[in-house]
Amino acid sequence: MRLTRRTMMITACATWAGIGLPARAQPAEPDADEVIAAFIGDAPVRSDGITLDLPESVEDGYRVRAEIDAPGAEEIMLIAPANPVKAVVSVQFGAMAVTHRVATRIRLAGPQQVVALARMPDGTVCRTTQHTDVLIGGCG
Amino acid sequence: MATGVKTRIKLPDTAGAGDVITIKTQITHQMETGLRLDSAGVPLPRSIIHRLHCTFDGEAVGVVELRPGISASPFFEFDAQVTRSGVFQFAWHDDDGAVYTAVKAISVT
Repeated sequence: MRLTRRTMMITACATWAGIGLPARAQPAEPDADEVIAAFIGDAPVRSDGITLDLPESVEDGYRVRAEIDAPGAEEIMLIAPANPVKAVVSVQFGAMAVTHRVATRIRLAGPQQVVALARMPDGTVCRTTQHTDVLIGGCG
Repeated sequence: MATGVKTRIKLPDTAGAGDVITIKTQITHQMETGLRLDSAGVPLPRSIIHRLHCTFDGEAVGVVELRPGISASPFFEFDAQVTRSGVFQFAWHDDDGAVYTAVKAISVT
């Protein structure tokens, strides 16, 4: 085969398609719906009883302050559906944690609707979402 | 083992019985997600703090399960109601098996 610019380009593209894509492929991560369904189970879901405090927009997705407040909750979970790993954090509260509030800093890969869930002692699950715009994704 | 790990705890030295105090914790850690590739295109292995355990004289205050979506040098802030003097114990569990601990006493009057 004559080595022209055209064949070089085609070979380069084919090589990238061949080795580039499998290298990026990740082991199967459960998607956000599966993570949410696993937490909820068959519990009744309500939309009150939990607040998720996130900035409306951030420049830097590497450090985004998130605060979850779920009075009375036994366990809470934060899910970022646009992240490579959907489940971000879960917290189980002991008897001394009377406010059932936790604040942390999370990574967000891009603009997305972040989901917070809380399991209540009566068996219900509270759910809320908050949209955050992210200029520079923090999962690279 | 991660190098340069340093833990920080912030909570009041004294409190009144029944007061709700705020606890702030941080540990310096790179929180390598396992998703980044090195210059040769090989994924860098995941190396994160995956659990933070906080107890007060052995009684559970909270257990945090961390995933790669938590920022480097994980920071957590939460509240606890104190009724007596005692010691808060914190334990961070690393993927590599290391456990980093810190303690802080509070005097309740």
